[in-house]
Formats: sequence, C-alpha cells, structure tokens
Amino acid sequence: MDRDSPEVEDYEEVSVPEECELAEYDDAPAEAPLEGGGVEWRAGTSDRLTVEALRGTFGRPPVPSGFRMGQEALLFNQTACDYVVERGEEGHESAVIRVYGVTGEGHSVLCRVHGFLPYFYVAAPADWDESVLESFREALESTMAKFAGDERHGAADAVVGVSLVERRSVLYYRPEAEGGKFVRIAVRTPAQLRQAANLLRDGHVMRMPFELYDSTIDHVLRFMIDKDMVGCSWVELPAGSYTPLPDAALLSNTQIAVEVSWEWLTSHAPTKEWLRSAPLRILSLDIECAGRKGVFPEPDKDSVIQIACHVSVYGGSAALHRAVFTLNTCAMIPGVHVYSFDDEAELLQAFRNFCVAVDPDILTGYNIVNFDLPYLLNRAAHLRASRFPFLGRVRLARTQMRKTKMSSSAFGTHDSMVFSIEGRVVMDMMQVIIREYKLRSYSLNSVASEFLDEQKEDVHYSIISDLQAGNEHTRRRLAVYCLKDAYLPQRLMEKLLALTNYTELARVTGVPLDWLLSRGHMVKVVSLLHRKATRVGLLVPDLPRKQGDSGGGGDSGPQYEGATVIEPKKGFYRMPIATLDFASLYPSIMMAHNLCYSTLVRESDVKRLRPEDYVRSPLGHCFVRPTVRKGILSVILEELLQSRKVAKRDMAAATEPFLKEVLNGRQMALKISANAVYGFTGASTGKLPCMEISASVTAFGRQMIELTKNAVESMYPGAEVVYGDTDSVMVKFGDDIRLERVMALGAEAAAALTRRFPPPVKLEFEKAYFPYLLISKKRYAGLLWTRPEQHDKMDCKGIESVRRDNCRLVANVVSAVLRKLLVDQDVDGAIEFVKRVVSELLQNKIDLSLLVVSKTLTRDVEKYEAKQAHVFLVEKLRKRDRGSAPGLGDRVPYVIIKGATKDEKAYMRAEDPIYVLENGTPIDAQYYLENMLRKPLERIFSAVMKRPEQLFSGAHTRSIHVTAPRAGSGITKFAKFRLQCVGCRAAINEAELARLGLTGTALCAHCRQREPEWYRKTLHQAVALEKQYNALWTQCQACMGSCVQDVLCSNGDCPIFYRRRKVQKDITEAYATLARFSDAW
Amino acid sequence: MATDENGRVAGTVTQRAHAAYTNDDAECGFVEAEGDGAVPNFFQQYSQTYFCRLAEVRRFFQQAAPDAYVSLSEVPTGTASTVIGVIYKQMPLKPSVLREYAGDVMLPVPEVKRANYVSDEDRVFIEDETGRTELCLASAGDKDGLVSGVVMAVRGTQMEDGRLRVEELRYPPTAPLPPPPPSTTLPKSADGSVDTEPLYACFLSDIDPTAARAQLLLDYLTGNLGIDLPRVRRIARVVIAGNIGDSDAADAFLANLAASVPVDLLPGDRDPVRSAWPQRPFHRILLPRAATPGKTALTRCSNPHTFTLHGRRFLGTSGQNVDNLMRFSRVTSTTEALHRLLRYRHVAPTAPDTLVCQPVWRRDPLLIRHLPQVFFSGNADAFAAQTVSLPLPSAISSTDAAAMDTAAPAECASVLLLSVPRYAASGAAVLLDLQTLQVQLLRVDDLP
Repeated sequence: MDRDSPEVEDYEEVSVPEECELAEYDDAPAEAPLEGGGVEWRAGTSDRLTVEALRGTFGRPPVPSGFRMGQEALLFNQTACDYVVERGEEGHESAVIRVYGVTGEGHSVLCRVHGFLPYFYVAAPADWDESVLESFREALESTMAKFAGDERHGAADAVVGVSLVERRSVLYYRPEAEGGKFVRIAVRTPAQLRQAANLLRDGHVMRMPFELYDSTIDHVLRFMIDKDMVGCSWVELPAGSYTPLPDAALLSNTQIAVEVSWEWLTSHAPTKEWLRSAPLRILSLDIECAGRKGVFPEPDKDSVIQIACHVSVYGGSAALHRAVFTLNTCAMIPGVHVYSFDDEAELLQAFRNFCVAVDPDILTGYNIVNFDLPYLLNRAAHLRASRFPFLGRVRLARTQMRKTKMSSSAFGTHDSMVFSIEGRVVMDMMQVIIREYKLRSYSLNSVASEFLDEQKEDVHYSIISDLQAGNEHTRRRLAVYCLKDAYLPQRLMEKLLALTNYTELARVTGVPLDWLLSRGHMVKVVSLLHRKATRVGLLVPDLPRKQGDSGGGGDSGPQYEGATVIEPKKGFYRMPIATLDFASLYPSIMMAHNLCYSTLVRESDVKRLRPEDYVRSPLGHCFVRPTVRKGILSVILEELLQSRKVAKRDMAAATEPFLKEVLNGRQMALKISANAVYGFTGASTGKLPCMEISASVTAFGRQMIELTKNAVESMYPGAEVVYGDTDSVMVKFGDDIRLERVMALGAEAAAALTRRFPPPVKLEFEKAYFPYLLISKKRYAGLLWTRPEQHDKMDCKGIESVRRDNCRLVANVVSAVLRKLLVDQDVDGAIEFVKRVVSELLQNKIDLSLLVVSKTLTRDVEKYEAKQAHVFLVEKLRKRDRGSAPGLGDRVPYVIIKGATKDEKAYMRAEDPIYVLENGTPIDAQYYLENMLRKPLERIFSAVMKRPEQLFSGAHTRSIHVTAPRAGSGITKFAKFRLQCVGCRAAINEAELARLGLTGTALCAHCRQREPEWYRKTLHQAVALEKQYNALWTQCQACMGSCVQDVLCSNGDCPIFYRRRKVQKDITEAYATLARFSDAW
Repeated sequence: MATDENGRVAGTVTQRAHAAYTNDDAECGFVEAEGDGAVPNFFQQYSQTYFCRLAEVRRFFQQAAPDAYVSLSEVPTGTASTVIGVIYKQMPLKPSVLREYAGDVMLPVPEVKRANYVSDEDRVFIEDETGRTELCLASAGDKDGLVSGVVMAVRGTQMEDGRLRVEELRYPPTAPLPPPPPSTTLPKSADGSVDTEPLYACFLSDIDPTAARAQLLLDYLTGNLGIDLPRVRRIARVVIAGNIGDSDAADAFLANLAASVPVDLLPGDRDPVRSAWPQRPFHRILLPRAATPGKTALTRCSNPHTFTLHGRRFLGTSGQNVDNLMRFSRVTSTTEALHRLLRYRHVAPTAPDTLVCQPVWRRDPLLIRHLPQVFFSGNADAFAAQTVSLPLPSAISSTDAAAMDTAAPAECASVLLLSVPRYAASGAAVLLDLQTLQVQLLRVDDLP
C-alpha cells in the first residue's frame, strides 16, 4: 500500500536512540521454535507452506553436491555485515562479525568471523612508558567492573590488550611534536569499548581525563577498514581456512554457513573482474490493509488482507516469481502463486516462510520502511503470531525495529524506522528517491509518472474494502492491483539503476550497502577519512559532540557566510552569454591549498614556521604547504578524482551496457563523495567539524570568482560579467557577437585564467546561454549551447516553481512562457499567451485539473493549529459524508471557489474538485490570478517588459464568466428552472412556441431562422466531447489493464483524472441540448 | 415531381421499377426506438459494453458446445483448455491521450494520425470477467488479423510465465440467417409472371455535390441525361454510404435525387452527425428540402444501416469500421476486413477502443445477430466485391469449429462483400442486381 508520508528531503540522521523497540511480543517464546515440522499454533493450518515446502518452488538453486565445503576456497559477493555478542565456552563475551552474501552461482552465504577485537586509542601522557601499561590496564578493568555492577561479571577481564604505540592525531600540524605516544586498548565487545572510553574520557581511570581517538567508529566499519574491505566487495576464504558451521541448519537460513578466523578472510578490491555483482535476489513487496472508512489503518484493529511479492534477480528484468497471499479466497491469476487463507495469522506466517524460502538479499517496496514492514510486525504482535518476526538469515534472531530521527533542512525532524533483518538489505525506493531527487510529490503515482512515464492506477482504500468484501473475483482484482504495486518499486529500482549506483557508492566510500539509506550522509566521509588515516598512522580524535541547538533540526550545513555571488544584472540578454565554470571547485580548492585537519596550524604555532612553509587563507587561517606535509583530505580527494577519471575512461571504452552503467554509477559516486568531504568539515553537528577548513574553502572560492570577473573584464574590453554564482561566472563578451565567436573567446579565457590559479583548480568553458533570461540571484533560464550548431536544451534554475502548494497551472504557464521567450524569442507571443491564459482563467475555460492543489493530511484534523485549506475542507467533507471523507495520510485535493460573502478567507473556500465539477461551483479566478500566477510571472516579465503588471489588467481581463450553479444545488434549489435559448440565451417561453406551432425547445421563436447554424454549433461541441469521452475512458482502461472491469482509479495526480469526470457531465448536457432540437417532420 | 432552382424538372424517369423495402435500423437497435428517447448514459463506463458483448458471444459459443469452456481463472496448469474472452491488443503506437497531455498541458499537441498503428512490439491478451492473460501465439502472423474488442475462443495451455500458449483461435459460430420475409415479396410483372429482369440497387459514397461529376450522376440517375434509360428505370433504390455533407448543394442534390428514386442516406465520418457509433441519421434541420416529407423518398438512416430490399438482407456502413480495423491490424484489403468482421460477428469490434461509440447498458447493438446477404462498406479507396461462404451454425460440430476455413462444410451461406469506392475520387458507383447479386461498376465518365 502506498501511503503518502510527509514529503521530506535531504535526510540526515541526527540521533539513534539505542533502545526503542516498538512491537511488543509479550508472550513470544524466548527462543523461536524451529519450523519445518509443521505449524501447530492454529487449528486447520496449511501445513504445506513450511519453509522447506516453499523452498521447493521458490528456493535458490541448490548447492552442488560436489562442493566440498572447507576444502575449497569460498568466494562470495558480500552485501551486508553486522556483529553479534556471544558468550564463549570460557565464559567470555565476544563480538562475532557476520558477513552475508551470495556466491557467483547464487548461493547464499553466512560467514561468522571470530577473533576481531574492538579497540581504540587514548593519548598517553608524555612520561609514560611500557612499565605503566599493566597498572593502567588493571585500573581500567577494575573501574569498568565497578561501574558495570554485578550483572557485568564479564568485565573482570574485559581489557584484552594494552600497548603503547607511536601515532599522530589527524587534527593540526604541530611543528615540534611529530609523532606522539598513544595507548591502544583492545577489549572484547563494542559495549565494553564504549564503557571504557567513557570512563577514560571522564577521568574515572587513574584520576585523569584522557583524550580519545578512533573510539566512536562502528565495530563493523573498524573490521572492514582493517581488512581493507569495502561495501559490496567480493570476499574470499582460502581453502582450508574455514570450517562449516556446526548445526548450520539450526542457526542459519542461508545455504552455506561457515566460520573463519578474521586473519584469513580477504577482500578483493572492486576492480576488473571484481566489478561484477553476484546474482542478488530482490524481493519487492506491497501489503493491503482492511480499511475503515475515513480512518488510516491501525495494526491493532485492521487486518492485513493481502501481501503481494515480486521476486527478481539483479540484472535480469523478468520476474523470477510472483506470489500473493490473500485473506479469504482469490481467483487464480496466471503466472502468480496465489495462497489464500481464512486465518490472518496463518497468512502472515506463510509470508514469513516465503520470505525465508526466497532468501532475498534486497527487500524493497515503496514506503515499506515506514508503512508495510512496521505494519506487518505490529500486526503479527497484535495477533500473537509469535513465529512471524524472524525474517532474517540468522535463524534465532528476532526481526526488530526501532525509531530513528532523520532531519532535513527544509522539513525539520521526522521519525523513520530502522530494521534488523539479518543479512538482508532494506532498500525502500521511496527513501532512495527522496534522497536522490527533488520532486513535487513523492507519492508512488507521481514518481511512476515522473520516472516510468506512465500513470499508475490508484484504488482508494475505501474501494479496497469493498473489493475485499466481494467475492473471489473482486479479491483477485485487488490482488492484481497489489501485485502491480509490488512490481513498480522493482521497476523503479531498475530504471533508476538504484542498486547499481548504491553498490558503487558502497564500494567507493567503503561503507556497507544498507548504511547508505539507514544512516546519514556523513558516514561515507567518516569511512573514507578513517581508511586513509589508518593507513598513514593518523588517529581521528573524538571531540565531544556539540549539542545541536534544540529544535533546529540539525541542519548540518555550514553556518558561516556562504559563497556570495556577483550581483546579477537582471534582464533579457538576446546575445550569447558564456559560462565559465570551475570544475569540482571545492575539492580542487582543498587540494590546491592543501586544506586539511592535518595541515591546519594553530595560531600559536604559526610563528614557529618559516613563511614559505604555509599559506594563509583569505580568512587568516594557516595551513602548511604540501612540501611540509600533504593533507590527508587532499590525498583522499586526489584519489577520488583520479579514480573518477579512470572510471570515466573505462566507461567510454566499455561495450557491455551493464558494465557501462556500473562505471557510470561509480564515477557519479566518486563525484558525490568528493563533494561530501567539504560538507563534512563544515557540518557543525558532524563528527569532526572544522570551520577553519570549510570557511577557508568558501573564502578562497569567493576570491576566485572575484578574480575571474576582474580578469575577464580587463582582458576583454567591453566584456561584462553579468552574474556570478558559487562556481561559475556568466560573461557577456559583447552586444552584437556571434555564438561561435563567444565560444572561442570563452575557451580562450578559461585556458588563460586557469594558468593564474594553483593546480588542480581549473576553469572550464563548456556552455553558453543564448538567449539568457536573468531574473535574480539563483533564478535564471536560457537555451544552453555546447556546440554552435544546435542548442542542447532549455536550462532553468530556480524558476519552475516546484512548490508543492502550487497548482499545475503555474508550472505549465511558466514553462510555456519560457519556451516562447527563449526558443521562439517571441516576447510579444509570450505576453499574448499570458493574456490569453488570464482571459481563459477569468472566463472559466481552464481545465480544473490545472487548478487543483493537494496537500496531505499528516495528522488528525483536531491537531492542526493554523487554519489550513485542506484541513478546513476535510472538516466540511466530514459533515457532508463522514464515510467518504479523506482520512489521515490521505492527499486532499482542493480548488478555491468563490465565497458566499466577501469576508470568507481563502482557506474557508477550499472545495473538493469533484464536487465543483458536479455542481458547477464557480471557481475564484481572481484568487488564482493574484495568489498563484501573478508573482512568478511578474518576476519573469520584469526582465523583459517595463510594466509587467499590465499582464493582469486591461481589456483581456474584462470578460468574466462565472458558472451559474447547477439547478438543484445550493441556493438555486428552489428557483424554478427555465430553459434558455441555445442561440440568444433568452428564457424559452414554451407556451408561445406551442402557439406558433413550433416544436423543439432549443431555440426561441426569434432564433428559429438560424436553426441549422445553431444546430451545427451544438452538434460540433457534442462531437468534440464524444471524442474526448472516448479517448479518456479507453485510456483509463488501457492503464488499468482491463476492459471488462470498471475503472476505479482515483489517482488525482493523473492529468486526465478530472477531465474524465468532467466530460461525463459535459457530454450528457450536450446530448440533452441536442435533443431539444425538434426532430419532427 | 420536384424542381430544382433552375426550374428544371427532376425525375423524368417514369415507370421506375419498385423493390420492396423495409428499414430495420430501429429493430437492430442502431437508432433508439421512437418515443423511447433513450439518451446514452455516459456515467456508464465502457466496461459494460464489453461485458454485454462478451456475455452474448459466449452464449453463441455455448449453444454449440455448452460445457467446452472454462473461465480464465479456472485454467488448469499443464493441460489444454478453452477459454472465451475479449481480445485486447496492447499497441505501443496506439494514440494515447495521456501522451498528448503529458507534454505541455497548455498547448496539447494531437498525435499525428497514422495509416497503420501495428508494430512488432504489439502484445495480445485475452480477457474475461475473471482476468486477463497474455497470449503466446504460435506465429507472429497469427496476430495480424486480430484487433482489440473481438470475442474469440482460445484453446491453449498455461505456461510457466503465466501466458497462455495458443493451440487454436476460434471464431464465434456464424450468425444464423434471418427469418424469411413474411410473404414472398418478389415483384410480379403485369401478367403475373415473376419478373426476372435485372433490378438494381445503386451504391455510392463520398459525393462532392458541387462537382460536375455529381451533377452528371444525378442527371443520369434521374433520367435527365436521357441515356441508358432502360437500365436507369430498373434502379429501384440508391444507397449513399456516407459523406455528402450538409451544404445547400447537398440538400439540392438529395432533394432532386430522392424525388426520382428512393434514397437511403447513411452518415459518414465527415457528415454533421454525432460521431459515436451507432451514428444517428442526419437531422432534418440540415437537409430542409431533401427531408421534406411527401415530396421526396429520402430515408435518413443510421450508420451502420440494415435493411431488407427485394427480399435481400443488407447490412452496411459508411466505412469507418473497416478503415479502423485496417489501421490497427495487418489486414490490407477491404473485403478481407469485411469478411473478418462477419466472422467476428461484430460490425465494429474496435469500438470503443479506437472507434468512438456510445456506452451501452444492456445490449451491444453492433453485434451481428443475423447474417446479411450483402455486407457493404463505403468510402473505400477502390471498388471490390467478393462472395464468401460461411458455414451455418448447424453445420459446425463442436469439435472442428476451426476447420471451417479448410474443409467445405455441408451447409453454407454465401455473403456478398461489397466495398463501395469514393465517388468523388473514382467517379464510380456500384450497381447491384437484386435478382442475381451480380455487381457491375457504373462509371459516369464512361457513359456514351
């Protein structure tokens, strides 16, 4: 089920509360019983759907009997990693790393890795030597035991190793102290690590506080870094190094389960033959819930009625399996395994068994993280289906979820769920799309239309209940719909190359695949930084986290003066404007000036340096030159950009399409990662914020833009920089100048200026705008040319108002205007067009769907404080019919109608578009004109004409047509309804017509002379409507995939939804009017 | 006698031969029965149209073999079974109103009309009330003649991927012959013997009434030309299969013609009538003179139009059905299209999918319930006529229903398929001898 969740963007994780389990399985057994022996917890159960039985149909290809486990090397593509703390035979706790993956042949693997100990560092006092270590160890251990209390008796020998090592801190260049002493402390479990670190930091050990290093890094990431293992890499266990897991069948749900000591495991760098991916299995799912009218489904009240599953293999587009689990009977669906149940708990269990039997590596769907999966878990808990929450690859591990807070700059903080489904990566396509794309709406409808270029049938949940309550055929109808919704996310994943791109991002940044979605952006840089630092003997200090200013939502972007732009000289430029761009500006600044934690010199240390050894940034911060010490960030960036060059080169050479996609995914991942490094240094709530670096970067950037402007204007007399953005300047080389010439000058200027900047800073000329409409800061549009023969596209920045509370009319008019201005270069045409639209709007000729605004009801109506149109409308609709009124989570579409009195506020005049269509309610055209169209259009036209307000006044605004409310509605209910003459609109006097012996009531006696003309006119309208009716309703049948069933779709995002409704009414009226022309002889 | 503007007396032919005629449009539901005034309910969706069509054709199938069929939801895996359903052809090239609106809603661009919308990416589905399944046809050629909206029986086996591997596609049983006319209507000559001389119906379509050629034809048919009078006298009725327009010239042309000879006027795709099938007859307002009762013998007919003339049953259209079938299939000849329509038992199966029609509630009026003897369509690029023979229901055994193409069944009915050319372009009309069902081309340009 696709429920709109609040539309958010730029997720950034702010905090992850440790204990926040939601589903409570109060009387679930401590250990999950073993399945395979039949399901005994409900009478009349369907024993056939055990995991074993389902494996027969849906299982992975069997491991060949010839495979001698342990004796030959085991090679697999790792997809997920986690760790579990276990108590060993000697009574010690230890953290076992678990690596999950798939072999090249598609067999699933669980690899338990023993012996890797968590460790961290503290700065050692200068006078420490080896002799102190043992007493330090004892002091730490005893303090830990004291603080842990009785239940932590394992803490008695928690500290396994303490050693003195020589390292450096990554922070600051210290002229005198190259190489410092640090104590490396190894413990048995990550929890002990945290405990030890906190005690040391807070001064509980040896009565002194210690500075911590490398202590906050996740255990799994630490392991991966030390093994040089990146996300989604191929892992090899040499022959003889590993052993089959004893009792594998009892402990794991994978086909191959082995144990290995951590030293033996090797990971291949993801290049050449290790670029490929194993045949990963993807399970896409969608659930439908029984709905009560007007109420969002609640897991303790509303049943799960269907679960549809679509199984595919990565790289293959055809479905491997399709299955649907239904409550109550369901007629057969060709090509789909249909399993029907009388008992909902059995249904859930069968789905769970199916999931284990299919054994997917990736679980996907649309909004499954915040709807489908939590609903299933909560519902199972409510039904006490205690064997349900075991969906992962570890047999006895209960699937758990917890809330985590994600915050974004635009929408504040939101809760999201995180799941522990061992060995399976949850990749919710809604989260992927929210992270990667900025859209007007994130409903599955809009997303499908945006990326798959098709409209999705949308069945409202009130109809879902009706279908469920019907017979096996209506439920089949529902199942087909549900299957489609399970298939769409998989298609989106394929189309957007989500898995490919995320795999490459995991490989490039070195983090496990699932972290990319479940954790914030910064973890990628953390991984990169630690990987590089570890290799060169640097330690990352763990600074106390700054408490984010509460409620601020953790906007983690830099908080200081950002990149200023050169003031735009607004206007409509009809000559070519060259754009000079700095390629990868921020990364290249960091490299050029060696800006890094490890090169930053504290002010007190500066005087000890020779002047030629450092540079001072425009803000006064000092960084040593690479000749003294090369910054680690520079090294990271160099490697990323170098790899990107290689990836781009390989991509150009690649012939296989899949390989091309992978390499493209990689080069994009590398670019994203390079840009993230700057953001990491500036993230105030991040792990290692360093404003000296980030502020210096932007300061250098501003300086370079200024320098470019001055240089260009002095190099080319008559040239003028009309605008400068963060990393580009727009140059007008002259008033009357050809495009070819501008392109040549642009290339020349870029090359000349590049020589003035330190490498690798590079100014590039790649494009010119011609013509160019500059409106204001960050708002411009133009035709973009990269070669003089043909323009590439129309490029708009900050104009096409994607604001969610706008109606479609705005975006459509704006884009049509821009096309007229830029492509046709027809200013008068654009003005005429706007006037026409304004006039049509006032005459009520604009299609209603263009005027619809929709907003999601995100909380109960009562909980809204501010008066909002959609909330007000919901209240109104509830009074009208409680049953069909929108409920929580529903999108509420509305239009603004004319008020009964002058002082009705706009929000009070929101009305249901369908109601408006059916009753002919007059639209408040003036509202749309003033509040929707005026501002964006005036903004554009202010660059083109002197008095843009003329667009909204004048002759074309005089003709106003207000729809008369339909007879029988509202105020006209009691007025006598009189026919109007089709010709002159005068009232028809039927008695007079009869006296004159005239039949038919279409025309008054006066208009009879022109009867054929009026008939033709009326007929013409009717014929147009017939064609429209036909085109619209057959389109819906085609989209729905059925012609014998009624169209039920209620997808208000679809451009034809309201048209389809309107034409029914219009054509009925047209036919009625035609019938008034007498057909008597 | 009517006169035209020039005071010229029209209809100089006296003793025009008579042929008994009944208009069966209302009986077939092409026009609403009088007084009923049934306005189509547009709040009714097209699903009901398909539903009625499927249910009725299924009965046709089941009359021959009541128990031979299963619904799509009952198709067993592994063994062959037979289902009856509506064919739906998914065609990427098919015009889409969504595509039209997807671009710029403010300035929608209607899609370019193509001569043919078939592509190799077309997929064929069969659907009944219980679901829709894709067909896996034995050869690509099998889908060439198929169009959306036809009801067929398919024998096949369910495949792993859910598609139905087709072993056999079956047409519905042929429509039964109409009951014989109540009395023998064959005209007798004065001496009481059966008149065996040729007796003609003249078929025309697409007339430009302002063209000289049209005047020539008018003068010929009314006898004003004074030539070929013995034959002209034997033309008992003129059928105009669409497209004459509603100009004054058209009104005059029809008034003059119908004053001399009975005329059936079908509306065509460019005529001013409602476009939804069945198309309503011309409104009298548009033809004030030609439609004057008592003065002319003009029958304003629906499209499609069905009538009985000289004891022969006719069914025909002004050609949009044939044109549409040919655009959405690989059928290339109009007679083959007509033949297929007869076998599909539907005048216009592509309605509503690609041909505009009214939604119906109880009964699909466009189904062919009785076999005509002449099945015609107008506005063809070229004249064509072909007599085909179809097995009558009683002659079809339940097992070899599909064999009708190859083996000659015991009892057959012949139907004349007649493709009426555009007169404006070709200058040709068709004379059909009602006695023998022989056809000849009448070219006014070639007259002596």
